[in-house]
Amino acid sequence: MLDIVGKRYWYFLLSLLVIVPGTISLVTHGLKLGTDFTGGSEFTISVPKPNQSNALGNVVGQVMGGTSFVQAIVSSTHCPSDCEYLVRVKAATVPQEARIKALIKQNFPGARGVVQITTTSGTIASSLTSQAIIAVGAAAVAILLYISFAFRNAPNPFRFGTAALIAMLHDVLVVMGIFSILGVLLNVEIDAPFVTAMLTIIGFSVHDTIVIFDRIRENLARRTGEPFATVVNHSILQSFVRSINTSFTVVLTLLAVFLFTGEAIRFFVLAMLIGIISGTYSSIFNASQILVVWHNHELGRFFRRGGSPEPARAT
Amino acid sequence: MRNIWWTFIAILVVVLAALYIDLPGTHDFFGRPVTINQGIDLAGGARVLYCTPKGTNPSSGDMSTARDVIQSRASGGYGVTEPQVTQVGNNCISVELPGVKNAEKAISTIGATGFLALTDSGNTYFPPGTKVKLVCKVAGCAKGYPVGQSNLSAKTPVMQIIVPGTEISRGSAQVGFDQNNNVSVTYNMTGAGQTAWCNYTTNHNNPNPTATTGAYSAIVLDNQVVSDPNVQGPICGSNGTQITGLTGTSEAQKISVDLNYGALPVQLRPNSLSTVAASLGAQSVTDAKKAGVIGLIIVALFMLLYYRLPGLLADIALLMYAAFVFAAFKLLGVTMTLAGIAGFILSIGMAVDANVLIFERMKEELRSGKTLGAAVESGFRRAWPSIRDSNASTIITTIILFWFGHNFAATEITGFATTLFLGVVISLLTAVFVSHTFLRLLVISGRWRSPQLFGVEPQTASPRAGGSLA
Repeated sequence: MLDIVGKRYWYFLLSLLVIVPGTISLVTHGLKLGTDFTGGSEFTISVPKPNQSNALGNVVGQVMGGTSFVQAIVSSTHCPSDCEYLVRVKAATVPQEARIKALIKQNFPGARGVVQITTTSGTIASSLTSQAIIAVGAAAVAILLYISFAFRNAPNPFRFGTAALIAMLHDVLVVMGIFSILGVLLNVEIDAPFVTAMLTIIGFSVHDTIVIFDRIRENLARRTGEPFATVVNHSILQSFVRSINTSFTVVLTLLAVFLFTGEAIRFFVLAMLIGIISGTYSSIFNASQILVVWHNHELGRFFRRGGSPEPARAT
Repeated sequence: MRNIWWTFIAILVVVLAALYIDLPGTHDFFGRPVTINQGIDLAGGARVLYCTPKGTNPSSGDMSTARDVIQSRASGGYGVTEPQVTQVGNNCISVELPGVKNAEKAISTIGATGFLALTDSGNTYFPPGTKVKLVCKVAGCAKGYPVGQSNLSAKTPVMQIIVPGTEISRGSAQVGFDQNNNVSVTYNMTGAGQTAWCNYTTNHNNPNPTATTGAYSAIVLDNQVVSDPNVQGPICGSNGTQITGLTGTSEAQKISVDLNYGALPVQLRPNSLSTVAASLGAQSVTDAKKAGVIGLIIVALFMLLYYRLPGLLADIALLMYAAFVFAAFKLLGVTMTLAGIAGFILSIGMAVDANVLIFERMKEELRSGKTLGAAVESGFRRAWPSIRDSNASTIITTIILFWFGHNFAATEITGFATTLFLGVVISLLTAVFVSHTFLRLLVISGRWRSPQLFGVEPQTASPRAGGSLA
């Protein structure tokens, strides 16, 4: 039988390889916060010319009395006939917005002009940040409680809950890390929909983990006498096809959305894509393996020996 | 086995009902309105979150009045068919104006505090729209009632407030006809307002409306004259005040709306706002439809190729699922947003999961040598706990998401949470009732029993040897 459990420390290593650079970026650069979190106005402007960042910056800056952050939207699909730019400034008032709209029309005849404006005041922005943290925390606690309840008949239900939670944290870190790096490299900012994506990832990650845990729970009851690691290995193999197939269908649908919908939700979908791939990985290669590590009290041994861990017994 | 046929018939009935609701022309289902509202990211338009200034603590009564006023203002005159006005938290009101044309004007007008007053406009008639300045000498008027705006020109006429708008009984103004069958507006006042009005009209009136001079009392909203009727006699007691001599019904309607909803009881400021051009929204709808159809086709193909016969059943179940979900959206009047569509498409992927779980279990049971009937039943029974537990975690997160989005009136978040929640719940029901019933029907039909049709290679034959259809 294929021995998946035996190589568990390799999987942890792979996870670390993904997480560590992201975490370093998170610590040093943090996440690039969008106007949803910082307050301010964001104009999406469409003009039929490429390389107009400076010109647009001047027009908007003229009204707002200051320089502004301007960026051409990289993935703008219809450029050069219809190039979209993102201009960010401090929170604009309604009359200022109207003036900017009029000025753009005047300076770029025939352009679609300002297609979207989002303005968030500082008060809303600061409460969004705190509520986002509360929401993610509440989701984590609610899921931990639910798993402990659903697995109450399994041995050590709390372990199942904690392992699922660690896997979930893994996925959150992977996505946040990658977005931190994207923020540094491509100026990708996080916004309220990003929080939505995070919560969805949390839900999916646990969804996936539970399916495998459910197999482990079932097999533990039927295969008494076999070593724990073997039961886990067997359970993973049994549910492997399902895990891959489900994630595959979800990834396919998300890819369809990612490729065929416009700028507005592209990074929202990208966050979910990364999260779901990571969620599938972490359910098989982290959550279940943590159960084995915990069951065998390997962490203590690992540190005592300071060397490679004893391979799991597998038949 | 007769139970199954009943379930099958029930499924057919529900499918037909869902398809009927899904039809683009259906706007009514057994008396229940059936619509899909488009959020501003799809329809274009504006969304504003108005909040009272920091530190103020408006009463819940004032907030709900403000909500009503804003609702009526938003519904009138901006070309908005379905404005959505909801209270958020205890000091904010969220307004969505899908399809609004002049967003800037709408935002500032809708959120304007609006100060309404009956004034003493002296002996001169002022046409509607005249800018005026208000002063206030009535007892109780000074505190809490703002007086005029200071940026009007010096030539602006100054009028004294007789009855502030807050003393006009909200909702009492009605369009009707006077004794000469001309259009009129009647309205009532509260006690203090009645006293002030009685005093004024007793001392200032001119029963001759054709006289060039006389006592006029202008109704002023936000320093603009709405109407300047001539006072024809003392108006005392609880009887309604009647305004006559109007040019037509539309003028009467405007006056009655202004009297009813002229003033907001609280001060509101736009705290966050977003506007989306209709062209961008239209493009998003096209893109999202394309993504949805492509996603559905890819998933259906995958299921068919990988799971063969049950995959085909799952595909039929998936189509039904799509019809159910869309019908549910219409029945519940869900506001569709871009994120909501993404949630729906995501739920297509997740809807397949329950079927995948069942089929994988069935394959295991078939491999262990069970008959098809036994494999269907035990596969289903064994897959159920993980279907239930795993979907529960998604449902928990959608509920938290909804709460989170609701706190900000962020329709893109609540829309996503709602569609994903409905999607997950309906996919559970579809898996339990539709897929299960189809599989059972397959069993009792007694045909198509070859394990290969279920993606299980026979133990004896070589993997690619053709299976029999017998």
